[in-house]
Amino acid sequence: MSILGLKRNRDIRRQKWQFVAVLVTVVLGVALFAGMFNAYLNLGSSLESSYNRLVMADMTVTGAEDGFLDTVMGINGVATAIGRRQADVPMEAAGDSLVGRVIGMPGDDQPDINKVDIVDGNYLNPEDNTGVMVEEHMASDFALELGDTFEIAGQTVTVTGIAVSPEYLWPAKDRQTIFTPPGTFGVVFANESMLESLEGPAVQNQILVEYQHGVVVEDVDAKVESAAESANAADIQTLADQPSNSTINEEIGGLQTMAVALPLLFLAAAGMAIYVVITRLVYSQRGVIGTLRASGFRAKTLSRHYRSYGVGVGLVGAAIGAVLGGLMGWGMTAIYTRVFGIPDLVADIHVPTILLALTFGAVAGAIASVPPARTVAAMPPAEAMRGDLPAQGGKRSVFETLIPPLRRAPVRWRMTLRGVGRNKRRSVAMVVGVILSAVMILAAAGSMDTMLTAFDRQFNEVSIEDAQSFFEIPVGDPEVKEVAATPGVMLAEPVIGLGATIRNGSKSYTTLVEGYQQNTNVHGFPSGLPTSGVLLGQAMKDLLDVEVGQRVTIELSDLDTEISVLVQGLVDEPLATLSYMDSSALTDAINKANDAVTAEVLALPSFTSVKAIYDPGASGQLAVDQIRDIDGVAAVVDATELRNLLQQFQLFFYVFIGMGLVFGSAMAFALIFNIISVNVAERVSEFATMRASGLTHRKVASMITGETFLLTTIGIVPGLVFGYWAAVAFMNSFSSDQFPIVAEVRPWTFVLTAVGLLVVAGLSLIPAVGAVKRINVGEVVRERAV
Amino acid sequence: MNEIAVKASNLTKTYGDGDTEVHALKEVSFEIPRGDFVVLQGASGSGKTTLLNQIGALEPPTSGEVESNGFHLNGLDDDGRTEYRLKSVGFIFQFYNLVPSLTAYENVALIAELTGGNVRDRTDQVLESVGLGDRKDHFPGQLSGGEQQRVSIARGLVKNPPLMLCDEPTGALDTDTGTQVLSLLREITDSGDRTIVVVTHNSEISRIANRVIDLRDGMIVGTHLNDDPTSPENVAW
Repeated sequence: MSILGLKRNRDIRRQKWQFVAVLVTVVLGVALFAGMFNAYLNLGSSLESSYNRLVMADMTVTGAEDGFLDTVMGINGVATAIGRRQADVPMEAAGDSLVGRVIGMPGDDQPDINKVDIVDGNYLNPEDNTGVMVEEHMASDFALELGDTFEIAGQTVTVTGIAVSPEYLWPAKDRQTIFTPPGTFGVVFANESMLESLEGPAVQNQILVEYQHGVVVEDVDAKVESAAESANAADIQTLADQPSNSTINEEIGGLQTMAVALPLLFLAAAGMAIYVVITRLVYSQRGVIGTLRASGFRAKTLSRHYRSYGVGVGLVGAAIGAVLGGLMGWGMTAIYTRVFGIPDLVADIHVPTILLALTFGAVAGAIASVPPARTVAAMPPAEAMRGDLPAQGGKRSVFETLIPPLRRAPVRWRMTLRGVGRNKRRSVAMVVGVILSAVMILAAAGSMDTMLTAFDRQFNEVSIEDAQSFFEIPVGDPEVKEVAATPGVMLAEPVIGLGATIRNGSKSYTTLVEGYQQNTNVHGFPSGLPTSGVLLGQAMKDLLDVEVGQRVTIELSDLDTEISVLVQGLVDEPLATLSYMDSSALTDAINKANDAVTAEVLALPSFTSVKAIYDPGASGQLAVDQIRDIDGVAAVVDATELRNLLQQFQLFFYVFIGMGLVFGSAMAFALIFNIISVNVAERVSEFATMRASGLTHRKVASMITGETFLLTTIGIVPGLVFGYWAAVAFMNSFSSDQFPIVAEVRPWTFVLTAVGLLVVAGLSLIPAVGAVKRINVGEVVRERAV
Repeated sequence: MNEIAVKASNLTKTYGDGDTEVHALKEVSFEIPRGDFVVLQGASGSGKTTLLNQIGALEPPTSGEVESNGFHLNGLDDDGRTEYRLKSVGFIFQFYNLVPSLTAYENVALIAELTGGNVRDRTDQVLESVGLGDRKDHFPGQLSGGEQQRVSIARGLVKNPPLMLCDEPTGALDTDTGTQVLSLLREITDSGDRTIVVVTHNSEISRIANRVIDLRDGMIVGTHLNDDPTSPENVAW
């Protein structure tokens, strides 16, 4: 190793804590990038592998006319297509009643499309119509094991297998119900012949379509959609829109955003920390630099030497970060695949990602060390040999200019104020560091606020009901009254729910239209429910390019009916994009469009359920149990179960938020610590002089403390603004029509973030204050004597 | 006989230990009468700055005692030493050590505020006395080396200390400017009973002192008195 290399290594060792702080920041940035980006790529690969192996349908068409199967098979780009039936029917399992989904499968062998993984037991037996496979989530929710029996629409069936389906990796009932409480929904795979015994509008014919490899998916989607519309299909669902797939992809997409945004914050902070530390090094080694230049070292050589500090720290940090990131990526992929139930785990080490991560670290170090290295190159040797920087021109602080009375403040105060502008680049680095930390902390804390606010609104202002009862008999006044009369229930209302495709010109959106009675108590409408027309979920404004006052068409495929209604308003609801009408207006409009659909038809259990609100203080579980005992009740969904499910989902989110808070604080600490340390190191002579003149170390420390808190405060103000924007952008990356959350940061969060950053600044000050106390005034004076 | 301002007895200062042990001062004893202009002279490494630091209570001795203007420095803790420096000592350093973000006035007022009283008048007065009345609002970067050293002298004087300790006060100055600074220091002694101790390796400067203490290898090798000190204007180097 060259002597300059040795010098560099020893310099780093002498300032090890400052370089350790820089290294930690680089490691965190690179590890986050390598880990999250690897996880993002691996999750995509895991999902793709599972889909390929189980032949996930590229398109699912429901309710098309006969002959569509042949038509779709003839479309260029379609590899194959199969037909199947599915039905949402009442079930009773493990003492609970629910509305579950039965999917027909060939009895003798796996279907060509949407195969399942058998995780326990066997595939279906064509000879055994009572043997069924239970989807893994349902088996888990109802503790069903091989040989257990339960009822499907009154028929007793036996569990012969437990399966994982690519359609239900995330057990969403439909696009509007992505959070399905455990115990309220389940999927069963049964012999096709069993579906024949199930009747009613709940039974749907479906065509599953598989595309050829290498085709342009959007082109084939368009052709199949066009054909399906011609065949009067009730629902057309691309793979991108498939509920489970789109939920998982939303999450993976969010991960991709984080994989780029978070590391950028850290690498920017690391760059600034490197800049500050190397600048300080160059300053303190002016005499050495001058001597080396005088001895014949070329400016370029010395400039390269000081750049090597940044590149070295960047590379070492990046190498450690890449290794940690590789492990983190593997761990994150494993956790995510488990959370989303993705059967295949692809945990590759993506070499380009690792190389990119290494490059990021080295480039951050190299860029950050350019300004100090240029200073070295431009340093006149004679001046540098004198060691001390000649006194630079000072000036009054901006505070004194803006607030003239400050010019008469005690000099120590003025010195503190001017300390802010003494080394502008360093002050800017600190302010930017505080801003970056505030961004990270607020993005995390703001996300938590947004989630909490969204859930609070959903359960206290939107879906006010405590329970929803599904019947297996038509729902009329007696049924509603019986629910309302249940002990512990305060009130009950019938609610119509119809699968609907809402169209505005060529644009359409598949959702539900719900009918509530006027002055409903079970659902919140901030501006009331109009007596005519429809209220649309806010997301439909853009999806359908529709405005209030326009007419839209609502296709109700289950009723083979189409109505045209005026959009009366938009509703902003956090957990779904639905449409709402007054139940009388809805019934009238449907009856007018199709006189075969009467109020009695709409009272069928497929379309009408009963929502109830408990008495204050009543036991929800007791009320649910009693409602279940009512004759004709097929299932009861307790809203508290949904709340619990969402809380579990939130737990997963909190882990990320916690990481954001810890990493943001660590980043702030590392950067502020470095800047203050450099500040103190640079001003040892100044502080020693003050101490020699009679200032106590507490007074000297109070100046450093004042400067630090002032700079931190200066950074906090824009930090809170940028942090809010980051939180909004971050939450928007998770927002979708399924989960149309609106970013919201509570005032207290701003306060706590500001206080938290000041606390971190205070903690970062402890070593610096110690250093001020430890200044050996005599030694400083002696060492500077000739 | 003059009152004693500083008295050192068997003063020893050792740095490091074992093989790296350096005896910076060895059993040094001396007395400095109040109002004297004293020069501590010697080559590099002779121990003169270490001795100045002992008198200024910037570091404790390894052994021996120092008594200065009524303070027994050995028994003082950090706060006590700070108090002593605040009340009794004005320091002047070779490289001025001014705070670059403060004007000349503010550099002096920073110390004046520590001792209370009418800060503005005292600061103005002391800056006038060093000839910087019209330059007081300039920052150090806008002042010449000599002017910066005069600010540093004003900073030391503003507390009105009985003892001024100057470590190579002309070391960074050219002859003319250095002469001006020495004249100022001489005036300070002549105008009252303030004691000034100047550390230098420049033998020319010792000609203006009342008392010259020669140091070599941590020991006093000679002390001589000038009954008729040379005027600073007549020295050159």
